[in-house]
Amino acid sequence: MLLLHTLLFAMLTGGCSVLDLEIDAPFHAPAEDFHENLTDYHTVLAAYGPPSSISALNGGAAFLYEHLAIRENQIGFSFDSERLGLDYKFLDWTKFAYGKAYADREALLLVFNADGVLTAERFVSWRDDLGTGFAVQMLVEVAEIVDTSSVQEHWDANMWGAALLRSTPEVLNSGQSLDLGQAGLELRGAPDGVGQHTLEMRSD
Amino acid sequence: MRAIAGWTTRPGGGARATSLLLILPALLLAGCISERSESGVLNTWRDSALAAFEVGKTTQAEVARALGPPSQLINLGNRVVFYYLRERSRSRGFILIVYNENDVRVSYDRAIYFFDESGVLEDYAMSREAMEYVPPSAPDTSSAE
Repeated sequence: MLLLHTLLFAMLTGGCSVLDLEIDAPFHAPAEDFHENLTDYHTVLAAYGPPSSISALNGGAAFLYEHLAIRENQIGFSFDSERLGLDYKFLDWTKFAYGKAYADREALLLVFNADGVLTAERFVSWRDDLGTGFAVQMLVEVAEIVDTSSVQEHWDANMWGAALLRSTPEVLNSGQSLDLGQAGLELRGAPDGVGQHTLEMRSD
Repeated sequence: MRAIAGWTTRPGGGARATSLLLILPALLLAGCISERSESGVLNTWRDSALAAFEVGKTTQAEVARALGPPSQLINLGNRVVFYYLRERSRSRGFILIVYNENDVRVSYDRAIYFFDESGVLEDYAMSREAMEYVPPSAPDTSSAE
């Protein structure tokens, strides 16, 4: 009977899903021997290697290191149409799923002057609530319900000339672009339609 | 345990239990996923045959000749940066009816080279995360006339 109950449970429930996404390698807070106005970029490179992104600043440069681990937990339900007295057979192959996602994040920003000496640094580690979602899916389907695309963007270093094919407002605003390594840096997941991006009129 | 033991003692119960045991994995194990994709430049900086670069001596031209065009060329005013990047995404998962899991890992192999105003290497670094370097195969010219 135990086996039959297990089987029945398996048929009636849509099941739970766990979706993990990890971007880049984790790192740790800066060692105590990082000192503003003393440490130079050579020391930082030796300790952490190449940064996730780099930007020129007036009279210097900035390095940004980032690590991101997203987890989306989903729970799904499906119904036995016959048991419910409903004549909708498709319900047997459909599940109603609810998902909730969060991201564990680490970011380290380092600012250097024109001589490559550290002038400011800040490390933060935090958990981001990425939101919730609800979906109706096929019983055996496993897909993201919560939209986490804003923190999953690929580094622009891999875009090559594709960056030149962006929409006209984005290209016209390229002087202010935070993606091209000349006008500043931006954390993953920053809203697209505000600040330096306002003139790009991005819809997403 | 008692229920399962009971089935095996009834006439024909052994066959029923066996078929249930065969059907159960088929019902529960709907499939598994494995996917890998790569993008970015070839990680030539991991080539063991590559001559070592010397800080204060190697030039931009020598790095560009050895590694090819960088993913990004960044102007820092009094410095120029060659930034090389290769990205690998690996996905593994399984789909059961009652429990499903998918794990995606995006990793990067990076190398960065800083040059001074005269184009001489000032410093360089590679990421701790490394990918195996696979030399590109020669293009197939057998069909060419």
